[in-house]
Amino acid sequence: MKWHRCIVAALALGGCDSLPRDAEGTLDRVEAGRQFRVGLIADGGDGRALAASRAFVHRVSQATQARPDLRTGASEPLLLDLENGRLDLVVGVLAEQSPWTTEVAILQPLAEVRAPERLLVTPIARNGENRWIMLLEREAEALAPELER
Amino acid sequence: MSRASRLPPEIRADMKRAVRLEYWNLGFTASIVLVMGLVLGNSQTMKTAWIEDTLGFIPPIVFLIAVRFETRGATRNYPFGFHRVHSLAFLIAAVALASVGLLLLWDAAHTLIAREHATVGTIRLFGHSFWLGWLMIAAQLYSILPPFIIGWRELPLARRLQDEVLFTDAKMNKANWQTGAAGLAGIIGLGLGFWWADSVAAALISIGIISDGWKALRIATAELVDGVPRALGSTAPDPEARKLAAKLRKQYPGAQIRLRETGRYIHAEVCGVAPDDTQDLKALWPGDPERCWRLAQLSFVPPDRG
Repeated sequence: MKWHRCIVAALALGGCDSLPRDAEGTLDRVEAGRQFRVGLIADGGDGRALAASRAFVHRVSQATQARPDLRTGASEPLLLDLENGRLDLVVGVLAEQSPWTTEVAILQPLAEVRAPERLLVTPIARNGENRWIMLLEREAEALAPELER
Repeated sequence: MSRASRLPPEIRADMKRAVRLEYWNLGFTASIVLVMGLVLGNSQTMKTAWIEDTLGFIPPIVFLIAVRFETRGATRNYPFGFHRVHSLAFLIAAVALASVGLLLLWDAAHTLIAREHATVGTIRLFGHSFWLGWLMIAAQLYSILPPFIIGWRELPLARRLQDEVLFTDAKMNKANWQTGAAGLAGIIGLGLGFWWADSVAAALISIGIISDGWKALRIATAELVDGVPRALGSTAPDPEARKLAAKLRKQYPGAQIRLRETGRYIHAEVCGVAPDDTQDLKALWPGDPERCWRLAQLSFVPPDRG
C-alpha cells in the first residue's frame, strides 16, 4: 500500500528523532550517568510476575547501556518515590483500575496475573518523561513474544 | 404558504446559504470530534479540546432549530409567532461559548497549579511505533482549518441577516480554531519538554473567549428582557434602531418611543398618541432600504383618558 508507506515515511521524517523530549530529562540523565533507579513491587505477584519484571529491567538496561539501581518494596512508597522523581521506573503488579492512573504513567502490561481480580504486571514511569516512556514502551513490546513463550 | 416564504424576501437567499453552511459546520464538527477522539491518549489538553469541539455542536444545532421555528406562522397558542425562539437560541449559544472559555481557563489553571506533566506515549501504526504526539499534531491541524473557514464565511452572513446566533457561532468557531492552535503549540511544547506550554497558551486564549461569551450573554439577556436593540455582537445600542427612534420622535412629537428586538426583528411602540389610519413600515425605515425588513411591527398606545 503506497499511502501507508507515505504516512510512515512522513511520520519518520517528521520525527527525525528530535521529539519528544523528557520534561525532567530522565533518558539524558540515565544515558549520561549509565544508571537508572528502579523500584520492583514485591507484593501481589507470583514467580512469573517477578521473572517478567526482571526480564524487562534487563532489556531496558541493555538498551540504555545503564546499570539498574534496584529497590524492592510495597507499591505505594515506590509509586510515591516515582511521582516525586526519586525513582525512574517501577515494575510490578498493579490492579487494572488503579487510583494511580493519573498520577503516574502506567504503560502497556507485560503479563497478566490470575487472581480474583485482574492484576497486571506493568512498567510504570513518571508522567511527562515522554522520550523515556517511548523507550520503555519499545522494550516492553520487544519483550512480549519472549514472555508469551 | 411555504415556510421559507414567511421570511422577508430580502434575506431568503442569505438564509438558505446560512442553513447550508451550518449543515457543513455540523458535518465538519462531527469529523473533528471523531478524529480527535481517536488520538486523545492521556493528554488532558487533547481531552479539553475534544470537549470544546463537542460544545461546538450547540450553536449550529440551535440555529437550525430556531430557523425552523422562525418560519412557522403564528398559532392559536402562540399568536405572536416564534420570532423569539431565535432570542432563546442566542442565549443557549452564548452560554455554550462562555462555557468553552471557562472550561479552557479552568483546565489550564488546574494543570499549572497541579504542575501536571502530560504523558504522550507511542502508537503502533502499519507495523511501526510512533510518538502519538505526531498524530495529535495532525489532528489538531485538521481541527483548525474547518472552523477557521466556516467562521470567516459566517460573519458577513450574520451581519446581513442580523443574526446573533450565527454571529455567536462564528465566535465559537474562532474559539475552536484558537483552542486548536493552542493545543498544537501545547503538543509541540510537550514534545520539547515544556509541560507548561499548552496551559499558558490556553489560559491566554481563554480570556478572549470568556470576554466574547460574557458579551454575548449580556446581549442575549438584554434581548430577552426587552432592552433597547443592540448592535450585532455588541452591548452598544443598534445604530439603525437609534435612527429609527429619532425618526419616530420627529414624526410623533411628544410621544414616548419604545423599541425592542425579537430575534432579528425590531418592534416599535409609540405611546401617548392616537394610532394612524394606515402605516407604511418600509417608508418608516431610516437606513438602507435593503434592511427595511428589520422593522416588523409598529404599534400605538393611545393616551390614557384618566
